[in-house]
Amino acid sequence: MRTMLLLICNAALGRGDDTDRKFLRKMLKIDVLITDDWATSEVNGTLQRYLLELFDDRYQSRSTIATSQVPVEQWHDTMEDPTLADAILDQLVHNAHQSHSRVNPCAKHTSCGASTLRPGMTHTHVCKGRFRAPDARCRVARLKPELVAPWIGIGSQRCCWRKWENVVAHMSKEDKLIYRARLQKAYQIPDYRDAKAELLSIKDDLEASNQLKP
Amino acid sequence: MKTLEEGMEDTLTIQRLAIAKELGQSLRTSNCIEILSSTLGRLTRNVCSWKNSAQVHRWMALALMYAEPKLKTIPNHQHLPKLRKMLFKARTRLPNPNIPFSLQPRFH
Repeated sequence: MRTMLLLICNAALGRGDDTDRKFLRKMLKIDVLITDDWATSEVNGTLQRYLLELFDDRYQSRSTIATSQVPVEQWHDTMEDPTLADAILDQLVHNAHQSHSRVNPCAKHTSCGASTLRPGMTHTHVCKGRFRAPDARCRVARLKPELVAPWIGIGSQRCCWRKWENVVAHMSKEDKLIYRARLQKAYQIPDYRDAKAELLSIKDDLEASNQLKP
Repeated sequence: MKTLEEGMEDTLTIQRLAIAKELGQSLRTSNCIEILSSTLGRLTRNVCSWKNSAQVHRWMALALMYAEPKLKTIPNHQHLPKLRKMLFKARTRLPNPNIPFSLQPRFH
């Protein structure tokens, strides 16, 4: 996994030589790209084209986190070319998890729906309050594997068969047979409430049996 | 126990959309997606370098065209319009006039 706190600046782009292509290729390889201070300054046409290229290639394949003090609705106004702005924000904002906070955003990243973020999805974070300068502690917190892993790793299992196999994987042989049959039956119940009640009762039984074990 | 708790709502999507009786047999598991994704993986495994998104699109389109005739129809496929209807019902939102078009939430 490679992560990078990226500060996009005009100086790094727009030279029209191989450096631009190398820079873009480098950005495309990053699994989680964190872009800070979005829409705090004007974005010109050249940079917009690079951003479009970057987000277009990263769309649905790599994760991007964008943080800003400016509300998402106003990001469009900070870009020079409205057509390119539409295309960029289309890649960045759609299919993205959004979270808004009034406190230090670094502390919030772990609780703002991060566990449901899938690889290739975007996470935009807007802090309406005073944005504290990213100090060393914040940088470490952002790059901690256990904090970033839920964003890029495999999320919760959605396949019923794999779910019950995961649940019974570490059980003894006798328990495996009992709980596998119970989980199969629970998932075959057509009514949502009944199925959920059955699953919760299985969960309670598992909890009780875990407490009994030394 | 935590494994069971994690994503419990996701695993009950079929029940929540009230299509468990009709389409539960084939959509309860993610096998139909896994089969397609493994076919795509098999067909594109010899590609060593992916140069740009256009190349990826071309390869995916060709691989999907190759895989399409071999795909089977799922049991009770005549109930798929009901699934579409239930999904649309679950995700329908009215557009917000205060937000620019490009920022409106879109549900595919």
